[in-house]
Amino acid sequence: MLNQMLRPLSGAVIISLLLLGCTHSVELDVPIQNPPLVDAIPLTVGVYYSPELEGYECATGKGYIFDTYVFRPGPTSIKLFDLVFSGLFDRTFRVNSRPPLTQEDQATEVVELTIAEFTGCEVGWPIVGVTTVAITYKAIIWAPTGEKVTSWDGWGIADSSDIEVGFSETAHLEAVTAIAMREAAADFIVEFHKNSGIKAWLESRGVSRDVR
Amino acid sequence: MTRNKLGIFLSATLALALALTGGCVTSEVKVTRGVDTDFAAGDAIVIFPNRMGAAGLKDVQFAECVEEAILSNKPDQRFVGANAFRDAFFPWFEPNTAPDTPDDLRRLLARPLVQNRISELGVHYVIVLAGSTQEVHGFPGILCGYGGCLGLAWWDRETKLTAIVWDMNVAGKVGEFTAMSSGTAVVPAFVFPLPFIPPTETTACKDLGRSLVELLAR
Repeated sequence: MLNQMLRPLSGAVIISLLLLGCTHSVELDVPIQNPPLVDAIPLTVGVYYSPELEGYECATGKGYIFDTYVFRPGPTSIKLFDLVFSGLFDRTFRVNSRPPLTQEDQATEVVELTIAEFTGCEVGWPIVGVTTVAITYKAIIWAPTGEKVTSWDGWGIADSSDIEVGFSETAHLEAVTAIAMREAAADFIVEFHKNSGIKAWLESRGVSRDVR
Repeated sequence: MTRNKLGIFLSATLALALALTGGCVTSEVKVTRGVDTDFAAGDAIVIFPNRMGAAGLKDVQFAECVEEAILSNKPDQRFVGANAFRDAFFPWFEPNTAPDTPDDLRRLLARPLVQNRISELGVHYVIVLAGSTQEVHGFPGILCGYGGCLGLAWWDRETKLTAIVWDMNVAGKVGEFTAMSSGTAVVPAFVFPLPFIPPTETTACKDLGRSLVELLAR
């Protein structure tokens, strides 16, 4: 009699466990190891990463057995752009807010980085078709008074044809996302000096347009 | 089928297969020269597959094959890996930022930082490689069932491999090399298919490697 009771109970337990699914964290590595190969602008700027950027999260539940995949591009983007900004400017330092800043840093502009868009959270299993991830980074330069000076962005996209096919969903997504982030950072850097707002700002600070 | 007839069939099939293929691959390399440059001992080469990732898996394989072919003729040739090169020059040789034209390349190479990095790595030539193999004009004469396969199939196979060589010191195109090799694949089948595939990819790769070594020796 006990066995008769246990059989449907164990079946229910198994089904419940399957329905719960698993949550997978898509770990993202910084896609570059060194600052970019560019001439640094001879300026000191503050760099601000908002709590919204640090906590940026994208979760999707498309998978098998109700699995969930969670992307956290914020922390990796911060490490990526620590390298990018260290190459773009002579000196950078982290600030905890937008201007106006504390007395010591009051005369410094602040560059704020945001993720303007992140698409491609969806994942399917088995891995068929094309997985595409796109990311847009946007930087805003704030004057010491708190007024917006200018902004520019960089966009990157990658799909599964950019990597060799893998059989692990998370590894697959990590690889595609890393390529998209790297492309976005490259576009961001190249666009920096093409931007007319940036050129005007540099001129106003006495920095030659030829600095690249 | 009696044993004699079976033996005759197999021998005839094998003879036909060998007659059609004979291990034969015809190949040629066309070269279009550009700027004249000198390649010094110790200068390094980068071989860039034209496409990366899964879409460029073949290009990556061709790049590895050409590198091996160069090394077999010039064992002391130094290479810098494509990924290491891209990392060293980030962001200038990414798929979305790499120079498209000789003028773009010249502007990029005019940057002092880029020139210094080229000197540090000792890279003289960047070779952009692309390749493909086409299989056409066939005869699909094999039937397969529960007892195995029977018949004869053949098709033409052609491999084309193109390498564009850029001189990083003068920002000019040194030359364009195209290796083409072709042959006929034959597959006789008696229970099991026995493929005889001409090595067009290996041949194109080795021919291209030899031509590039001649360039490096100038």
